[in-house]
Amino acid sequence: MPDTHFDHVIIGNSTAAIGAIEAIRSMDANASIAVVSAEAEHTYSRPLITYYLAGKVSEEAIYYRPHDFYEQMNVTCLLGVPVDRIDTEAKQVHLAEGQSLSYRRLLLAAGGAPVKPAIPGIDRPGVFFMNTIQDARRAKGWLAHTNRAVVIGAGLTGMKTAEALAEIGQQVSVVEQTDSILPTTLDRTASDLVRKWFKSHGVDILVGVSVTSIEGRSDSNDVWVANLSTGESIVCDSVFVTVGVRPRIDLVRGTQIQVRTGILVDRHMRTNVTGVYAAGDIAQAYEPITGESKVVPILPNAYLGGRVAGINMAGGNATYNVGMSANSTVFLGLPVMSAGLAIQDQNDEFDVLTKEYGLSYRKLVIRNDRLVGMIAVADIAGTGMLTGLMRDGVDVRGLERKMLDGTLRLIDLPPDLLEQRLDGRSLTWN
Amino acid sequence: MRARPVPEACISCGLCTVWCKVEHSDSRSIYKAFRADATKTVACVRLEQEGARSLAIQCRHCEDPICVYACITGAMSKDPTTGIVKVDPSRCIGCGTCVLMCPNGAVQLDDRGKRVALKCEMCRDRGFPSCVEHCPNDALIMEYDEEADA
Repeated sequence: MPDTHFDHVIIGNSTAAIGAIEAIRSMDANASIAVVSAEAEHTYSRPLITYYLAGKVSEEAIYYRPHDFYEQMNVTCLLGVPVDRIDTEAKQVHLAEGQSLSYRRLLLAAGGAPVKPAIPGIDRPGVFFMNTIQDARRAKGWLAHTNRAVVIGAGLTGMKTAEALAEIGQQVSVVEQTDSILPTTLDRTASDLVRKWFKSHGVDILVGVSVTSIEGRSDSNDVWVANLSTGESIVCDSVFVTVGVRPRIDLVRGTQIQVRTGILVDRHMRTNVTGVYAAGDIAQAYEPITGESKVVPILPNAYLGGRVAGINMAGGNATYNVGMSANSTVFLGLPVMSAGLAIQDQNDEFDVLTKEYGLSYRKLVIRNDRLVGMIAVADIAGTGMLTGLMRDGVDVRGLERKMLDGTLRLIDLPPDLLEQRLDGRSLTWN
Repeated sequence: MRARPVPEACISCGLCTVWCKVEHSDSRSIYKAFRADATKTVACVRLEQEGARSLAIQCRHCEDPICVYACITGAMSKDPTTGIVKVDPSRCIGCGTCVLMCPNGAVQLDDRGKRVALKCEMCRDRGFPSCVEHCPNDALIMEYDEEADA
């Protein structure tokens, strides 16, 4: 391919990229768009790879958009082509294969890379990261011949991986370094509920423990045992490393683009370099509950941030004001949700209301009469009303009981807000 | 396109929920839906009452549908022609992200079979929303957006 110019070049082919493409095309039918991705895959849903591992979603069904998406959107795809470097002065993206693309607008949407802890033996065959469909494919092939798995890290990816492994009949042990599972998304009460639920389904969970090394048998390089910080060890034949993801900020090395944890963007998803935007797991963007700039690597935010970037890249004016954390999943049949400052305890600044019965748990975190955090386990009815109130910063005085009971209704909202909701204007871009 | 509740006209009779349940039943028959059908039926419209005031609410088919934007599989979409926000149950994994995101509480998880998201789709197979058609007092009326729904 000769050197080529595009109006929009997008690095990455996952959720943020799709959000941007759909936004650009909704405003401009003619602008040229190129997508460059190191992964040689049609766009797929990354959270579905554990479902693929469990055999609940087929390889064919993992796509995030229909197979004719790029044709419909008139997007030039360079898939399986890593980026070598970006030259923001010349407005060019140099590809590993020697070609280069020049751009008018550039979106950095290359996501996050799995964190690789310094554990001896981590490079052995039989050790897997759950970040790409390729990771899941390799693991799936391996698991056909094995039956005892260790999962390192009890975050969302780790627990979804543990779920998938349990569902296909693996004997699973989860090893978590901190003293609770899902430590960034759930408070202690919810975490313990979920932990007991997993245990009742035969998944062994060790907290406050780390894996110190992974060993194989003397006559092979396979996995045989995971040694623990307690001095004990777990006999296993596969290890899954899910200790988090880190923004792929190496992408902008050698440029003037500002980086902290992720690539820093303003509320229009613009980096400090003119014409360059970032969105998704690679970006560090405005988080409305704290008012701080944060990496919030969840799929909905990738789409929303990508959409805001796309609107602005196409000449519109959109502001990213919805980037709080919000997670919903189902673990072995048990629905678990959390949003905002979910793990916050009661103190002078925060009021915390909880309700617990059996497996069901609901928590509200309130600051200055505004709902700023929530957790719901098992009974999830009406939870969207809560995140709606959080996004809109509604004064929730008088609504506490209904929010906690799950009986809040639209008719309970202030008249102007009710009107806005009835009009179908639940999301604003400015 | 959406059904607009008219609180001044609503007499909270609940026929909207009755006919919605019929539409979501196996038989789609008011004679069978509540007693004869093997599967319990559900409503996608919610009748809300506060004192003498009441209104019937279902999915607003938002201009910027956060449930669609947040959907982790791509199962949710907004039809570019009709503006109807719909779920493809074959692609839904029932993760509940849409439930957590919808500020109107208009999406639920349907546990009757494989767990999937369920919401008002304006009776798109039927052609016209049954709740609107059967409202005896014009307390639910059709509302069309200028662009997408034309």
